[in-house]
Amino acid sequence: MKKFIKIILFLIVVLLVAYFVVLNLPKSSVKNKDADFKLSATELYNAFEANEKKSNKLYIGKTVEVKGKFLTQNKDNQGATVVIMDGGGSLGGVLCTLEQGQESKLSEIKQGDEITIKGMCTGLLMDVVLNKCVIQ
Amino acid sequence: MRHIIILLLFVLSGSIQAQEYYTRTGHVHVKSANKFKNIEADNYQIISVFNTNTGEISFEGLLRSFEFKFGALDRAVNSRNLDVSAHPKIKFKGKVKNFRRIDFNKPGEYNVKVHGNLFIWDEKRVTTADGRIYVGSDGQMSASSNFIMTIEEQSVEKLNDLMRKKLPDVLNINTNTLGVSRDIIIDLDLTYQLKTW
Repeated sequence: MKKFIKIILFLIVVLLVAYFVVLNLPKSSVKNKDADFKLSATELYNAFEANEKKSNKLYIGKTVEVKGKFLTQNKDNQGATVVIMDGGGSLGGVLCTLEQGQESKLSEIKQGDEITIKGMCTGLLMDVVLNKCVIQ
Repeated sequence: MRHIIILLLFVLSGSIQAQEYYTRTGHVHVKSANKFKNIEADNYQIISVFNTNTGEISFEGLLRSFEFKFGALDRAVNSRNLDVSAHPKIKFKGKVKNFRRIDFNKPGEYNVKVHGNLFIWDEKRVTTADGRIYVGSDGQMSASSNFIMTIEEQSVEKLNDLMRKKLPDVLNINTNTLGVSRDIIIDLDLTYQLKTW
């Protein structure tokens, strides 16, 4: 009987631990993923401008490494740093929301400098949008 | 006479010039009650434009930009090739009904009603929501709103089906208790800048 209670208790503990592990699994990251596509910010922006449907199929959900001119940065509502890269267009470019801890790499970068950013492409709004970005 | 016409045109063009505010980094929080745990997700990459002359307001976001609070779900959704490329966006186009009451030169908080069309997946739905607009002392403006969206039975089925298919591969969870309900609570938070182009 004692053994039975012990087993039950053990099972409960295992289930509780599993529950919290599952809830708190780290979110997906592109840090250790190889880029599916490597291209310039202008190429990526132009591809979406020319044919959004085709580019949606090709790039959404994929890890993309983009090289281009740094335009501006600001903070979004969660305090994450958002970098805008020049896409050659008059309005849009490539918008990259950085993962936490990446912003320190921007301290030396000025407007017009060339940077390379890797992130997950989520589609086109005003800019081509990348999420979970890391600076290479 | 010519001068008067030119002057008149100048004055007119000045008064009808659109005063538009925009943001590229608006925030949407969605939440759906669930027997197991609330499914919650955030999207911090919302673009929105608000025209203070006409009251027209729109926002647009990408489905793939949603990040799930629940780590396992975030991994499941992002690690698999979840295909959203046919309808990658949610869109809202509407009007702030009582926007004339708002004095954009005077700091304060205003309650407003928003009426418009929400496009999600291939569905269009008419939505009315209460919102608040804050005018800051430095000319900054922000808007917030929360409302409940009840989605179609078939869409819930689509969503739950997707989770049933995607989740058990990664985890051994009973998806009957993990399905989402039809009521989705949406919180919207937008901080605007004056459009200068």
